[in-house]
Amino acid sequence: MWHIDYYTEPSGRQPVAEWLDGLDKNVNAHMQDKVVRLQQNGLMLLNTSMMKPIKGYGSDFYELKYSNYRIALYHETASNTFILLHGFKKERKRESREIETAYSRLREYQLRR
Amino acid sequence: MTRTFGDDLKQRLQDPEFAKMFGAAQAKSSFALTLAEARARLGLTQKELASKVGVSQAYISKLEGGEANPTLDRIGSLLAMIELSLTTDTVKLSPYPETSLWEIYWPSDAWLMSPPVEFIQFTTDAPQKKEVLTL
Repeated sequence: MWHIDYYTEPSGRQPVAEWLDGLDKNVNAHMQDKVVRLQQNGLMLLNTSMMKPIKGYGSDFYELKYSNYRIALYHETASNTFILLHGFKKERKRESREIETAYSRLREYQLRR
Repeated sequence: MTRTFGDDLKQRLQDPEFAKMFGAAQAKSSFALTLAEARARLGLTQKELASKVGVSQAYISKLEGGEANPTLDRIGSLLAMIELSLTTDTVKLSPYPETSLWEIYWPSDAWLMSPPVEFIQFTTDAPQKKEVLTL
């Protein structure tokens, strides 16, 4: 088993928890399923089409995928924890901005540690 | 208050409508893992598997993404092309049991230690951890 944590802003906000709340119930159920599979299988999930690395941002940065919905996450190897950084609906025009959002949260998280 | 993913999921599963949708998602992702694992064992890429069983690579990707909803007929005949047969099993829906022996023997900082294997028997391919006490 791996650990799953929501990324929590210094203000206490948990953007992925809020994002999941706002999703259509069926999409939400499918996204939660992917997270549970990640918790149970860890990086083995990379052998399926449910998860892939996000390229260009160093290692340990991944996304979970269902339809055109994504959760960007970070694998903190030392604690065997996956930090859910950012949830978004993939749109061609906005994708790089979404990844930037996830990455800035990751940097903030790492600075705080 | 800080929320946790596990508590949120447990809460949502109280809603029967959500539970049904989650169950449907679990069935698909379970087969996705089964297929990806079988393919890896055979040393095939998604493309190679696709041509072996006579479907598109995009369809294999959907199956391994837990996004396709194949019939049991389709699964059976697809697996037959790689000389495999489907077996199924059931486990508890929620991966977060109320009482967790796991937490007792495998606390969150346990990565520092080696696993107490004499107390816990778990399988890597099971969709849910299994605890067997041999005290």
